[in-house]
Amino acid sequence: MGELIQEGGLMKLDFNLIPNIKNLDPKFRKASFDPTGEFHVIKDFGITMFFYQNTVVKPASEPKTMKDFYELLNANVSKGRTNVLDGAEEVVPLAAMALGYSANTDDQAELDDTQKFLLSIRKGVTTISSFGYINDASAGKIILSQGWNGDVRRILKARKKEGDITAVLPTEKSEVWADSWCVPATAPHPVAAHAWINFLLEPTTAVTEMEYHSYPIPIPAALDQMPAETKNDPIFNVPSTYTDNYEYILNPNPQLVNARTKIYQQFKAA
Amino acid sequence: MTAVAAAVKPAKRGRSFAPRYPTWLTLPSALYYAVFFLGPMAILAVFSVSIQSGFGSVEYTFSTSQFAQVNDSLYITVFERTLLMAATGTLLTIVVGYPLAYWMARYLSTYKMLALLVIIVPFWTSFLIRTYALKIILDPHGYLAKDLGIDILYTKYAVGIGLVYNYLPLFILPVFASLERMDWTLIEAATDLGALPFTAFRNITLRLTLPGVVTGGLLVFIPMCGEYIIPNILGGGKYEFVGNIIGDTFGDAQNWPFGSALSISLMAALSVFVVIYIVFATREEQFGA
Repeated sequence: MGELIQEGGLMKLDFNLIPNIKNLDPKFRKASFDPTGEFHVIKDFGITMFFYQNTVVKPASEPKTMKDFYELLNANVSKGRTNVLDGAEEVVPLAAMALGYSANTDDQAELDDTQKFLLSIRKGVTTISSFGYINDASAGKIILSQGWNGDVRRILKARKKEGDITAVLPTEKSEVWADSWCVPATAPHPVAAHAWINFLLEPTTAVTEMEYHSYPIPIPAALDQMPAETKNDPIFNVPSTYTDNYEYILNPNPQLVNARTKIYQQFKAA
Repeated sequence: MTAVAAAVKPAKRGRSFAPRYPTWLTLPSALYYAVFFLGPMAILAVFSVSIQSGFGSVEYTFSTSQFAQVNDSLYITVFERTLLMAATGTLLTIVVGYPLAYWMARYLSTYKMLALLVIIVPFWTSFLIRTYALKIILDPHGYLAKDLGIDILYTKYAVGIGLVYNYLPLFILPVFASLERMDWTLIEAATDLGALPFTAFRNITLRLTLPGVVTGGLLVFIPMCGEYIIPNILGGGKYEFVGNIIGDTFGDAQNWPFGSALSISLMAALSVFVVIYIVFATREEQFGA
């Protein structure tokens, strides 16, 4: 979205046409990818975490950080399928954060460190995929993987009977991300688009959405209507003690994106 | 003089029965070719000498910097690996496909068309569906892995099998056509004259059908080099083909000039093989089997 705003691809929203914007938690009106908050309305948000099959992966100490996840890969890849999320914009920033750097670092020394780190754990990765891992993990085919919190929640539900999945919210740096509604600059029916966004900000609509995709929508009236089991689940409603350490992954300029893409290609081709 | 000239009449030209087609009849297909093939190629060429000015934006200029980047060791390695994987896949396709095509052409009579249909029917499903079907067969929790111990999903062997599985019909069809056109009485004559069956096969069948084999081989080798889906699905996203690099460059980096330079470089590398294909296809047309 930051790229689209930079390139003039998005229309500024007319909040007079979105009266339900009052239902949204004010903390979520602006974001680092849209500092003025004029171009987007948040749809839902989530974080990147990891999980493992505790009957197969038996770490010496409880893993707590994303670095712990990477360090488990080489030791456990022979026991079953391990997975990292794909895409240059996931692989490189998550590894950078595991080393304590900013997700959006463009410091060459830090990027070089990140590249070396990724190459060191490359042999421990069976698959690099963000697609289909929910079903595969629910079927017990993945022993160690990164995942987005809503997806991990669905995996935990699917494996409830076996009880063999341990999910970990990273205590240090990780990614927070948001899905958002926005209107393209050339949209032929912007009024209808605004009406749609307004509809989605109704608490009842938001409840239906959250029950379907398991990601929180920051509408307090809707969150209050969620079942206690969901509302109090830290994987659904991630406490700020975790998210205060997390960062949005941005694409601030083409040079950084190209650098990340090259590191990602080197990682895959190794 | 006039009488002499009048006596020597110019020879009357006989009517020609060779078909004559007005050139304008080719205009629709020429226009289609120009708009949907030459046009995009020209855009690709222009992008490849331009510079990225923003996400998905291009500054039109003339610069060879993109091609200089292609020379990086990462991309050269991926090019080499892609060509090696495609060559291996092609060889395996020939090893599997030629005997099948030979058997269909030589020994089947009543069920020849049925056999051809069985080869072609998988092509009626989507390429992606076929690849996912193979993923299910190779699944580590499937019968192949559990009962036979063949656990190769997410390895280069799975990618190789995927290449052969998806491109086999594309090889069999031209080879089958080549074998069908062959005069089998030559084999009978050779064996009557004392040649061993294998000698007759090597000196007659193989030689006469070689243009078809090369044509079929190149018909699978060239698209294998540009593969994207099979390394992603069966290789677990770990085996970079040039097609994946190009996809990442356009999709992730939105670097159209560099992606275009990679595409043009791949086309240039494959053009050598395209020339070979044209030579052999022409020879097969002229001399047949």
